[in-house]
Amino acid sequence: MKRALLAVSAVFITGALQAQQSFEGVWILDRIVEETPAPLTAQGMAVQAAYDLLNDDPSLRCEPASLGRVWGNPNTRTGIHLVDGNLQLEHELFDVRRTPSAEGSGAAPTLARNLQDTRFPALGTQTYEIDGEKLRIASTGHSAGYIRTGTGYPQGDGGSATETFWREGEHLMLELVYRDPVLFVGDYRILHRLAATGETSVPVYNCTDADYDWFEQLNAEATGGAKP
Amino acid sequence: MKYLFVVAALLSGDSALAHHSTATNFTQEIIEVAGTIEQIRFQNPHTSIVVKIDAAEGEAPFWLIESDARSTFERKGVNLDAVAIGSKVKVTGRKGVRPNTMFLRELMLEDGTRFSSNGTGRD
Repeated sequence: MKRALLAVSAVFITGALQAQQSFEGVWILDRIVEETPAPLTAQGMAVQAAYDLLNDDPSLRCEPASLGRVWGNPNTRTGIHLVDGNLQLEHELFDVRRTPSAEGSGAAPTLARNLQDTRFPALGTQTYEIDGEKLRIASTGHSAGYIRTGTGYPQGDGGSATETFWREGEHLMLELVYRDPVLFVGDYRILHRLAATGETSVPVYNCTDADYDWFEQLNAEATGGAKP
Repeated sequence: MKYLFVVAALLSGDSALAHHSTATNFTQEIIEVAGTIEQIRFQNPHTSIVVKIDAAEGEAPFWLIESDARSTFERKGVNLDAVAIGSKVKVTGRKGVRPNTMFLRELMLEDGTRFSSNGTGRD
């Protein structure tokens, strides 16, 4: 009996170690392998048409618009770690920190936040599960906004998203799928390929608001009030 | 070698996913502006350089030159803190949707130092 318990324990421990090895580390976007056009409903198209990229992009306020925005950013790192059995994601972009709850743990879901503890409801509340070689993070309750700040693909507050990670050789693959019965007629899917950086930590980003007011003010003062 | 060539690799300047989309905030039209550096904001998520031109009466004298994040520059070994305020420069880049804005393609100082997106600048 004792031997059987030890054997079962060993299987679980081995499985856990393999899972950790498969997705833990510091990663950077290598490329977006595939992206389906967002299958917008008429309502989704209306929201997209109303998008004003010069004013509606929350990035201008150092806030992540969506999970897609965070993962699609070039040249910024993301650390994925299991700390005492708890999943932690550290995104260099906007210093976003995420601590999804383990699926079925009963732990209250928490919002993503930055290092100054500003909450980011656009990323929703999240749970995770490790299924063999795959890590899966499910999120719901995203605040309404935009998944893609270039195209104005909308994000509804009744949608959900799933991030699924798995290894392909040295790369970490990430499939991000959005579902929204109001804004999309089907799945909106983005497949990312991430490369390991070999680093052990993610640098602090220290984002500064990118509004244009300060610049327009310079010219307004120089021309006696008229903006260029 | 007299000239210092600095490659500020703008790796993903056209990414539709960049901070505020470069693809949609800037046209494909390449323009040139000459003047003096008034201000440099070497920061994330965008580096901003303000250049003052000799403007006609009533014309806006300041241009905002935008570029990549400080972290992106630093990973390429480029430190814009070394560029002095008041330096005379010529800047080329993609004309912005907003008036008096541009996305940096190349910045050249009077002494020939170039900050370029392709690294081929040479006097």
